[in-house]
Amino acid sequence: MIASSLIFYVLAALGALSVYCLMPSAGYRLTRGRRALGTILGAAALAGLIVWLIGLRQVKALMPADEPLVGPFFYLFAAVAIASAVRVVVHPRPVYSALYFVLTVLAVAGVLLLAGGEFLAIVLIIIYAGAIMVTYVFVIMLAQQAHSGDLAGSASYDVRTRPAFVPLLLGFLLLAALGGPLSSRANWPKPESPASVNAAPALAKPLIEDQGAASDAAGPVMTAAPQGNGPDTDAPAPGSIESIGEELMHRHVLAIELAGVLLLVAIVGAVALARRRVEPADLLVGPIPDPRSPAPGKEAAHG
Amino acid sequence: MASTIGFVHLLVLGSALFVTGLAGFLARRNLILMFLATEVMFQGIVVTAVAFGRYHGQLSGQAFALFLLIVAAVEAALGLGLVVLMFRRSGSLDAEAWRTMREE
Repeated sequence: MIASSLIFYVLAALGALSVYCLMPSAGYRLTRGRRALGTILGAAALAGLIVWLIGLRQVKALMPADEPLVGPFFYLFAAVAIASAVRVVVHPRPVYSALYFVLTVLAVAGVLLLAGGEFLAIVLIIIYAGAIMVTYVFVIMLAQQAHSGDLAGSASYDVRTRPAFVPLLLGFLLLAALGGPLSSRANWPKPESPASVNAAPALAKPLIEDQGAASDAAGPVMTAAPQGNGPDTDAPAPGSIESIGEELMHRHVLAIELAGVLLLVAIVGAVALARRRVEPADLLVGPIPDPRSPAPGKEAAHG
Repeated sequence: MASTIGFVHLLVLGSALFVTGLAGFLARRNLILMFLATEVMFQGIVVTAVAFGRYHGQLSGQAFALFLLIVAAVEAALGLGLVVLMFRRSGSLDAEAWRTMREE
């Protein structure tokens, strides 16, 4: 098992070297050869990682093991996710970084889909690739100078990053510390017994039965389905909207309320940030403002 | 290729994504790209949370990932608003332009 973790360390070092070569820290002209070297190193590290992962024996399958295509699809999605994440980090143009990040999100959503998180995968695509990335691209367009086709017009802070050695050394150390011990089975946590899986549906039972009893008065058609099913068949599949909703509403009610408060505070904060400061002299052109009411922009951040 | 995909696979994927984002956050100078690197780190955390939840047979991991999405949306909105304000102030997105904010 020591050899297995050693292989992982070598792979992590290869990946760090690849990102170091790809990072545009030494001027773009010089990086033609470095780009090729970094791409080759990265491809080698990724292929080695996949081979290393295939060789790992697992005690408990998280994905359906009888489906022959699950494994290839997982490795495909994982490779796309890591490669596009590297491209996000090293690309000298922010717009391309944002687009590669969309690719990362799609690949991660694919992995989640395989791992039983259907609702989460869809939500990830909608929120990340739909909402958050629109914000990012909008800000990038807003804050960037127009430039021509080549990189000559790019901002200097995009073409020339900070010295990348220390960040990548830190990244390599962290990855080695995270992934190296995983290669020996003695370090894995024990999976809990499947009895605890049914805890959430068991909690949800009274709610469902209450609904069934309430709809008894409405008509027999509504109650036919829940009463006809056994206890196993009416339990929602894990990862579906139904089971996620039961989990959220039974165990994380306070967290949901806090998330709502957080979103509200974020709305207020975004409005306060986005307000442009209005000088009082500009207002004097129009009718004189009422001194009792505070001047607009007074509460905004100073300056 | 009938290998089972266990949780070590997902953990390695999640930690690789997280570390990539960390290196990018430390190395890049563009403020927007630094935020984008934190989003890459969030992706790694989502994968890890789902993997642990699935391994223990619970849905708490997915619930945690959902709350993480909410926090990421809030962070993107507020952080990018601040970035736009700083761009208006200094005329560039360079994080180095703000190094004089420290106490001399």
